Amino acid sequence: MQRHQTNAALASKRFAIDIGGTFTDLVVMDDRGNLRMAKASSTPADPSAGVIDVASKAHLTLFEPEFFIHGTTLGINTLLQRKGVKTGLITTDGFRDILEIGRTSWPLYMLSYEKPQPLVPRYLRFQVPERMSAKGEVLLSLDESAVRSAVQVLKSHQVRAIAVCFLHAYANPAHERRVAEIIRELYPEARISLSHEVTQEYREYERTATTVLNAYLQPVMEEYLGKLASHLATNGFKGQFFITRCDGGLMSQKATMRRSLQTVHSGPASGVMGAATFGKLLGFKNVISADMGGTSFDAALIVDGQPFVESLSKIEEIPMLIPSISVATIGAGGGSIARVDSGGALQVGPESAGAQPGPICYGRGGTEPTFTDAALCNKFIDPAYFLGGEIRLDTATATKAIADKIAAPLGMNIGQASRGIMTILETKMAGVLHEICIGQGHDPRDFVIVAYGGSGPLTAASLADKIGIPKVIVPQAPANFSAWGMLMLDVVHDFSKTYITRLDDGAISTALEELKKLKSEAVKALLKEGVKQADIGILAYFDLRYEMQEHTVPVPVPSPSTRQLVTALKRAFEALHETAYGYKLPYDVEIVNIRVRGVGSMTKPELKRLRQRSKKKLEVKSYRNVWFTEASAPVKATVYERSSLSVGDKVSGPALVEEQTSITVVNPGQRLSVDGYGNLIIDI
Amino acid sequence: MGTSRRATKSRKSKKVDPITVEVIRYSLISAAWEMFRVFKRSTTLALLYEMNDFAMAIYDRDLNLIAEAPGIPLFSGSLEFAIRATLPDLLEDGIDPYDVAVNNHPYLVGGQPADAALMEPIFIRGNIIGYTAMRAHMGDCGAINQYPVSTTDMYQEGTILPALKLYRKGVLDKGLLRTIEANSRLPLETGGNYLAGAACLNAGRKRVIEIVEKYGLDVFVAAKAQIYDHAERLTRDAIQRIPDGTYTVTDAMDGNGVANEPVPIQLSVTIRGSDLTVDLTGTAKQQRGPINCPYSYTVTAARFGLKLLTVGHMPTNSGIFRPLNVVAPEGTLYNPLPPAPGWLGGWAASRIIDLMSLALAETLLGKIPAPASSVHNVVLAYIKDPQNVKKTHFVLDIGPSGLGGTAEKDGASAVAHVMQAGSVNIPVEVHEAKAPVLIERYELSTTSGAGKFRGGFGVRTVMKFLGEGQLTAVIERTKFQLPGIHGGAPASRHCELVIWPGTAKETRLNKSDDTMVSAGDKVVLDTTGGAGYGDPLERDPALVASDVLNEYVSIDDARNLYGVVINNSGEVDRDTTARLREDLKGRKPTAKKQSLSAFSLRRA
Repeated sequence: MQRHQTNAALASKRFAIDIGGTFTDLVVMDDRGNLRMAKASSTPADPSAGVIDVASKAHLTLFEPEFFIHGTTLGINTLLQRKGVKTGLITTDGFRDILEIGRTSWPLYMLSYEKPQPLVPRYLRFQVPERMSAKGEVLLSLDESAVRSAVQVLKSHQVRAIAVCFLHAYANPAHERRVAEIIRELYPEARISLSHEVTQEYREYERTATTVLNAYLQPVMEEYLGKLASHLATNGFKGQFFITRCDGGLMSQKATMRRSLQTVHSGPASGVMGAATFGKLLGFKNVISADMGGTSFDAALIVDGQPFVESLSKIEEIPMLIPSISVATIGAGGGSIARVDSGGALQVGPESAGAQPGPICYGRGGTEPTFTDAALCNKFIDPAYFLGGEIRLDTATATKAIADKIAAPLGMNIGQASRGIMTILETKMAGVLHEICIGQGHDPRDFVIVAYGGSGPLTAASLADKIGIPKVIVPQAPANFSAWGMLMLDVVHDFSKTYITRLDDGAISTALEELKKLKSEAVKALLKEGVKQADIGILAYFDLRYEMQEHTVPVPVPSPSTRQLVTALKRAFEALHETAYGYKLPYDVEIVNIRVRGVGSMTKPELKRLRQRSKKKLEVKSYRNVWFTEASAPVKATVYERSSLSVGDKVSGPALVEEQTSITVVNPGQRLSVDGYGNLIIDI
Repeated sequence: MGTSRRATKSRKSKKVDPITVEVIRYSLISAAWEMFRVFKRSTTLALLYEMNDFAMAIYDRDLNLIAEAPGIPLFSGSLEFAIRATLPDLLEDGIDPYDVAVNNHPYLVGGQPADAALMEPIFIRGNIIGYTAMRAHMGDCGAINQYPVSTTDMYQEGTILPALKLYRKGVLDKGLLRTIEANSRLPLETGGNYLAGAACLNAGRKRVIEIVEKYGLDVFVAAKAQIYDHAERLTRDAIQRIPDGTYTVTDAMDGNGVANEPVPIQLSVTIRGSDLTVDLTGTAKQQRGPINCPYSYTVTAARFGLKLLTVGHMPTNSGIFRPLNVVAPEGTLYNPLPPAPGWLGGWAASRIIDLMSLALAETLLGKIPAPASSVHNVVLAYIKDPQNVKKTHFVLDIGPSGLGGTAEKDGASAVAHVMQAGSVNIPVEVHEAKAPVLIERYELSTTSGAGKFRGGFGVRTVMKFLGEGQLTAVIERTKFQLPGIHGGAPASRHCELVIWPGTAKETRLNKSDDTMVSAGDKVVLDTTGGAGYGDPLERDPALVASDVLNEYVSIDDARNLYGVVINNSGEVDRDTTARLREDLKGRKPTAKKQSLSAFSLRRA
């Protein structure tokens, strides 16, 4: 990735805007693949205004670009603040409390527990007589008069959206479809979410919760996108408008209106997809993405260029039974709070000072020492050069808090105490990397870390060292990396269906029939999004398991014409199972789900090789005494300005490389070099 | 280079800096969770992958628990007893690196021989520095039936494997595996689970060795001592805040599995400074049926209760247990002598946890929720596949129940018992896709104890079998309820299991393992809700109105229990409500005292 000055001769081709909690980031790519970036404050009250603001800040004329890619946090914010619309639910008789019963588990070792409130209260949940079997046979036909009266009551309560989820609708959606017709007839203003359209996988609680969430968000998203589209049109934009999805793909504005919940968690997914593409462009197929921001640390495993897609994830304890990029998240960020407990042990996180009040050193009223305060006391951060000097950090107050609240009770000096805060949080983060890499049967020596987010480059080299990853790559403008990642996305449509059958020669042909249906649905969806036939690729998987197990392994389906297809699938399954769990079993294998991912390839920016500058000596910015360990004294580190480094430059640790929005740490004994694209490569 | 390595290698003194201690602590916990994941993802029994009916632990050389990854929290604390009893035999035989030993003696592992413990020594340069250990419900181990609830001695409960090596120096003892399989109705699953168990111990052992090698053995030894001391300090601080005294409560179980007669329980908690004693003297003698709770399990339950009441948020380690003393006379329910049967010991164990909280509820008023009224309610059936006579399917419903209200909020509805908090139910769609069963209803059962904050609700499941087979049931709380707190009411009815409802054969069961069912037969499990906290007449009328709107509480109950009058448009009639509440208050001035004394809650 590379920043170039605006060149008036080149037309802007595509642009991406990522709205975050604090900042709205913009990345524009021109005809030749050159990039430029801008940042503006987010405008939570009217996020669509922020989009236009940041575009004008970047002098982007909106009639030029052909593509606009947008990442929005509106969905997740609406959920977090419980600001979705009044929603009703129609479900199978006997099961209206599924949403409230959930899966019955709760955190261990607690005397009491507050279950999350269901998004639809009980008085808006209606059960109607109807029943399908697991095979999709009608056991009880739909009681349409019960449906009619339910819809009338929901109408009288003025719900704006109605979710419909019947048992086994994945196997036979006829009753759900009929309910939709009745709703359209009696209450056409209501938005409808049918469970089989949101997800065709079994597990009634997860599917109901997912469908309800989609219904709850849909009108909010529709309103926002409608407004944004008209803002864009008024400002001359005539190109295509895509939204990022949690499975690492894009969908059109129109598709988003029906699948609003797909936008939830799309931000981290875009970052991971960016890291995957970035790794591939640099020749690294096995990558761990490490994104450390203000409140959380998000890490993901990318093997052979592919991130993992999981079929079930959770947001605020609500399950989402739709494919999403697998990202491991813990509450570890710049704002993580440190404290000494009454037993005298130092604890860091998961509580966070967040963006408001934020760390003490921001001077916005924070009183508890945080990771960022510790990094500042430790002199990793230059108080005068934070965000390029936009905010002057208050070192004195931060230092005093760490001295009083951490160092004194532990009998340590300030350097050791603040180093300790960093080390403890880094240990937790390393635990996450360990879990996703070694814990899933992968050798860390085969991986590189791509570090981004404001604090990612600050910790990545220590994390790599802790779990044995040999290399860390810090891209240019690491704090904007997720927005860059958006330019790397393809249009994606995932389809899946629960279809349980033994994997044998008899059953395989019907399973392949189902697969074929899903494939043609995927192609149809992509064509509808304006993707050209030639750009369409289809990936097909069966989720397979040993007959007695519950957990499945996704196995790519080879071409149906493959000889001995069943044997080939079984072998592939066994090999994947053995990698993941260390053994194979002499059991029969079952198909549980059929999955299809339709991909419409988009043209993407290329990484630009930079020219090596004429040889000159490395320019040292300053020296700072930094605590890299809890040893008795700090170590003198050389400080460089990132923009003064050039291709081929080499730096030995202990060193710090500063740029406006990030600091890259090179620990003693580690070496850093600048590659041909301007990325920082740290050898551990 | 290694930042932490450098920091610690030079450190030879006894005291390890607090940063390194925390790093070692989290590394070990992360190792235990790796064991958890390896096992969970590869087990072959619904009980294990959905219910998390297992636990992982890492012990030091002296059998102190350093780190755990509990599925069922009650399990990991019990592994210490299994390792302690196994070691002398292993040492006699010779113990080597990569050995994996098994022990499933029911008095060591918690009542059921199907719950086996596996352990692996961790060697560093020829010396044992600790153990990785796990315990799981492995499958079937040849009891008189798959889930016996009417045994009269432990030999009917399965094949006992005392201190045997499943792996010798990393080589599988195929003879032992064949023995396990030959004595099982589920040979492949059971054998597979033993192998998965060994695999997770190996994974944990590797991690522990890495950690110890990284920091050095002396640092590791000193750090773990500091970890225990820290936990002990925090636990003692919490105990010290409880006023000294002896707090006694009584309860009873419905029956022992053989005789359907009440089994009295008495539990007292004595606080002296920072020490806490749980005394079960006064509880019934050991029982002929299998509800006996072996002493190791009794201690484990008391440890769990202690942790809940003091340092629930803290990672578990042996330091927490140091202030605890457990008294249970030999030959009684909580310290039976072999060969008394113990398959249902877990149900007796769960009472210890509930009663420890209740005993301290009055003195810690405001901090302890009202009791959750149910334990785990198990309905298990083995139903023959109507299409394939050779195949038998496993149907399981663990009826979730409601938690008690607290000083600030209503109890949660439809959750597992605290002892199994991490376990999940089996989805209706998964159940029906796998087994010949149709679940007709799965809904909240809206009865619970009234209170300023009411209890959460239980669940009603109506299940129809589509093939013939055998039904096992273990239900408790069909006869006795625990009281509410501070004027709150107990659950308004008992837990109920009805088979063949609405027919001439209609029967109520609480424990049975010999009920045969045919295709079309129905069973209804209706669990109770939690008890209430505080006087129902003080409940915010808006909350009562919302409960009425949502059909959690009837209009009549709103009036009679809460003194809240709801008008035709669903709103609170304020004036009538105020008058009614005054009137009701006048009629029962000692509501609070009544509910507690009715339950013979004594403070010595």
